Parts: sequence; C-alpha cells; structure tokens
Amino acid sequence: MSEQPAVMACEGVTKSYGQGDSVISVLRGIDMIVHRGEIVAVTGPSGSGKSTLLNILGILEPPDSGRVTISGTDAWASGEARRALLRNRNLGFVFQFHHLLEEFTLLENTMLPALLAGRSRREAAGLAADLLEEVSLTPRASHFPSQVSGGERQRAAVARALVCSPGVVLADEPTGNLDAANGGKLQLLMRSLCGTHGQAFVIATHSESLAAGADRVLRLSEGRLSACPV
Amino acid sequence: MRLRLLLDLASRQLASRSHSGVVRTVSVLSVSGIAIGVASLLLLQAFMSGFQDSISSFLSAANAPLLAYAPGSELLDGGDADLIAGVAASIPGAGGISPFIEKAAVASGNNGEIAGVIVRGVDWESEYAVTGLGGILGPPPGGAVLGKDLAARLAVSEGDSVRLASSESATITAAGRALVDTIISVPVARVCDFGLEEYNSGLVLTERGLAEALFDLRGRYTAVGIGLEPGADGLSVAARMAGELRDEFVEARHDRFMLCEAFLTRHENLFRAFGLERLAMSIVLGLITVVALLNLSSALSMIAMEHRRDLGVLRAMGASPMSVIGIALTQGSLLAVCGCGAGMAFALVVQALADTILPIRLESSVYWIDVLPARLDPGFAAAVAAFTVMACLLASLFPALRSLSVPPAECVRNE
Repeated sequence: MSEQPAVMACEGVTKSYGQGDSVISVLRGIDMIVHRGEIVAVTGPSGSGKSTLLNILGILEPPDSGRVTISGTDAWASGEARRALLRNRNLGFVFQFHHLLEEFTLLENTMLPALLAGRSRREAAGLAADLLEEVSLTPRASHFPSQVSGGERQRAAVARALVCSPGVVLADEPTGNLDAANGGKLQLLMRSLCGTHGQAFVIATHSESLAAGADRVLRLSEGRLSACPV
Repeated sequence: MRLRLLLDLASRQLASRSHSGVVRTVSVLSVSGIAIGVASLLLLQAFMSGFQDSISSFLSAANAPLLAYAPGSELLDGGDADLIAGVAASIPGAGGISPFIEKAAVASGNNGEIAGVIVRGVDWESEYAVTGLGGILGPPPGGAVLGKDLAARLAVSEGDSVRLASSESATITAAGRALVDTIISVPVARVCDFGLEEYNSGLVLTERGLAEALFDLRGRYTAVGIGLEPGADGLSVAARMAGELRDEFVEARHDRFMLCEAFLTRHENLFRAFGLERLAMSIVLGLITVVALLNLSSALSMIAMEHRRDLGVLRAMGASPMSVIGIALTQGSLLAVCGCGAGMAFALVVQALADTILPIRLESSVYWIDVLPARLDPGFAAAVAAFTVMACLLASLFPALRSLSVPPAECVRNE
C-alpha cells in the first residue's frame, strides 16, 4: 500500500483541553500518513481522542501544534475559506449518527457536497443517484431520513461522503449506532467502495470486527498512536 | 454557494417540522411580528393621509387656491381686481381670478328657524374657473346654494325660498334699536354636500349681484380668488404674487396694500397638528417594528441553534463561512419579505374594506368629515418595505456571525 501516494498526513499533532491545572493532553505528537486506497482503523477506548484526531485530520478543529497536510497542502496555513474548499474537494465525512439534514431527501442529502462544489443540479443529481444505487438505496432516494432505517441512513451518509470523489473519507464510529448485521453490511460496503473508487478510509472505531477488516490498525492510547498487527 | 441552494437550505430550515415544530412556530411568529409592524405603519399613514387629504381637498374644492385681500377687512374694488389679474397673468403658474364677497348674514327658512350663515357672492363662470365648485354643483345654479345641514335646519329644499338678512346695512334708531331693512328672499337652487361640516351647516352661495345688494357693496369685494395652473406650487406662486402686490404699493403705482396667500395656509395650524400627530404615531409604530426586528433576531438565533448540527455538517462538507452567513441572511430576508408581504396585503385589504363595504364613520361636527378614507401611498409603502428588509438583514447579521463562531467540530460532536 505504501507505494500509493499520500493523500493525508499529520506530523507532531498535539491537542489539549481544559485550562490551568486541569489540562488534559488528548494527543501528544501524532504522526500519521494515509495513502490512497487504504483503509486505516484507529482504535482505542472511549475518551482516548479518536474523534478529536479525526476532527483534526478533517480540519474541523485546529491542533495546538503540529501540521496537517491534505493532498500536499498545509491545511492550517490558509484561511477558513480555503479550508472549506479543501474539505469539499478532498474529504468526506461519515458520522456516528449519520447527521443527514432532516429537511432533505436522501437524494438531496447526497447531492449537497456536489452542489456546494458548484456543480449543476442535474450533474449533482446524476452523481448522487449513481452512488445511491451503489449503496442499494435507489428505491429510498425520495424518502426523508426520518422515513428510513438507521442502516439506510448510514449508507446514505456514506454515499454523501463519496459524491465529490474525495481522497479520504473520515468515518467516526460509523457502525456505532447500528446492530451487528447492519454494521457488517456497512463494513462490506466501505470495503467495496474503497476498491471501486480508490478512496482511503480512516475509521475511528471501538468495533474489533470493523477494525479487523482494515488494511492497517492504529491504536490510540494516552495520546499516542501505535501500530497494531492486523 | 448558488442562490437556489441557499434559498433551499434557508427556507427548509425555517419551515422545518423537526425539532418539535418549534422552528416553524418561531418562524411564523417572526413573520407575524413584522407583518403587524408593517401593517400598522402603512395603515397609520393611509388613514392620516386620507383624513388630511380629505379635509384639504374639500376645503380646496370650495375655495380658490390663492386669495388676495387687503388687511384689516378693507374692501377691494374693480381697480384692485384688475391689478391682481394683471399681476397673476405675469406670474407663471397663476391662473385666472374670481372676485367675491363673503360676509356673515342671517338666514331663515320655512319653519321659522333662524341660522347664522356665511353668504358668499360669486360670478359662477369665473368662480368655476378657479375652484372645484363646478365638480360639486354641476351647471351654474340660478339661485342660492345651501349646505345640506343648513337646508335641513331651515326645512327648505330645492325650489323653496330662503330669506337672507344682513346687519351690514342696519341703522340704529335714537332708541338704540337696530333696524334691519335689507332682507332678501332668494330661491334655493341646490342643496349641496360640500363634504365638510363647516360648509354644510353654514354656507350659502349666491350670485355676486345678490350679495352686493344684501351687504350694500356695489362694485366692491371682500377678496379675490386666484386659480393655479396644474402642477404649480401654491406657496411659491402666492409668495411671488404677494411680492408683486407689495411692490406695486411701495412704488406708489397702486394706492391699496394687498396681501396674497395660499388658501390652505389659513389652516396651517391644523395641518401642522396633523403632521405632529403623524410623526408621534410613526415613532410609536416604528418602535413596534423595532421590537419585531429584535424578535426576528432572537428567532434566527434560535433557529441557528436548532440547526447547529446541520450547519456543522454543511461546513464539514465544504460550505464556506460566507455561505453560512448567507444562509442566516437569506432566512432574515425571507422572513422580512413574507412579513412585509403579509403586512402590505393586510393593509390593502383594510383600505379596500374601509373605502367600500365597511366605511369608518366619524362625527362630522367633531372631525369635519363624516367618513374616514384611507389613502395608501405606494412610495411610502415601498420605503417601509425597503427599510424593513434592510433592518431584517441587519438583525440577521448577529445570528449569522454567532453561528459562524461555533467551530464545526463542536457542531458535529456526538451527543
């Protein structure tokens, strides 16, 4: 996998919360490289900083120190407008609780990143429809999130994350809110999409089985990342 | 972000049924607040303008727009009228002239009732040329014209006679008794609704010759009415006329000092009072609108809080900071447009009802007119709408900046 180009990297990333005597160092010098087409699982106990790491990698939150590069661009060296563009073009997000917009149908939710990228409505609808078909949600395309099951919502969230063909999809506990059967299906889906579209997936998870399906497993403990055997 | 997407996001968030329907309720309340503020301002303007314009137009219809007269109730003669006609002809905007006699008299009718009246003697042709009486009376009448309330009080109608008596030609006997020997009986040609209680209850219009006989004023007038060309400014024409008449007297080309003024300036205090009242009411209603705007701002803040997670997701998907601000500003604009539209529609409906099937009746002896008309000024409505939309945008700015200040990571954090 290492011969693939790096689509995301972080170097010496630290992050602390609190102030005064009650400072908690969540990340203590994280170095990490993600290559195109690989699935990286980040595991660790609750509160170990997996979500914080994903937020920093997704440039949703600044590190206290260190550098995050997305497709070779130093994410925090530019302004928020430039970071928004980086997120739109290079990153996809899958959250634990799907976070679909309740007022939009699954098709419209899936179209949103493409529309934000400035694509025409017709083009965005075409891309979204293709992805919904890949995740077997075509019959549900015109349904609102409240009208479909949890597993279907999460599959729609995966489709939404892929619609702009980002280099990396960051998934924070994607199966955390699903039963075992649906979690397994989502895992297979991500693996299949990774193969089809060539995106890298960085998955923060508690799930041993989800981590077992990854190309690499990194364990986050006491603010440091260590590689685990797959 | 494209406009359609912006409108989609903004409108769907406002009309959202999620979050227990609170957002939709808050949106409706915000629109209602703006609508009430806008409707209040427009209706205040419509009724105040209607009242003022109504009184002004009724006053103007029965009187020439400009009046020339000599101070101290001194009478004018034919030479004065010729001078006024010559000066009027030389000033752009001034029209023809109509000398008239206007004096107090006593009238009695069929029931023995006696009423104090103002008798105005005019030449119908020249009077019609400088006033709006032609529109009220139709063809020149061949007798006296009485206000409807006066005719009712004297129990006379068209075809009856009314007796007019003047104290101008009274003689005082050695015993100190006044002998009124000028009593003229004149047929009632028309009973007229002048629109104003003051005229309806006390005005008698006659041929000038009859007034001359009644008041013993052969070839003399109390004042001269002067017409105005359409679109001319009465105040400036009156000022120029007054200046010319003063010059004629000062430079000794004419031996009588005369003044000229716009008729409505005789009621200046009344119109100033209207203006002050309108200003005070506008301030009060403007404050109501400010309260509605504060309500809008807090509503948008609440909507932004309710959709905090969605805004975080949008930012994670690549929405720029300007797009996030744009969503809040679009929401403010949508609420403003809906509120303005609803307020204007309500004001138009009330105006239509007040002018047709549900007229607002007034006590004419108190308010001069018996029906309150509404006159909505499109320019004022447009100004209120523009101000409201701008103010709403300003009110949306705070929630917009506030929603931007929350880091996206915090918005999408699992709860």
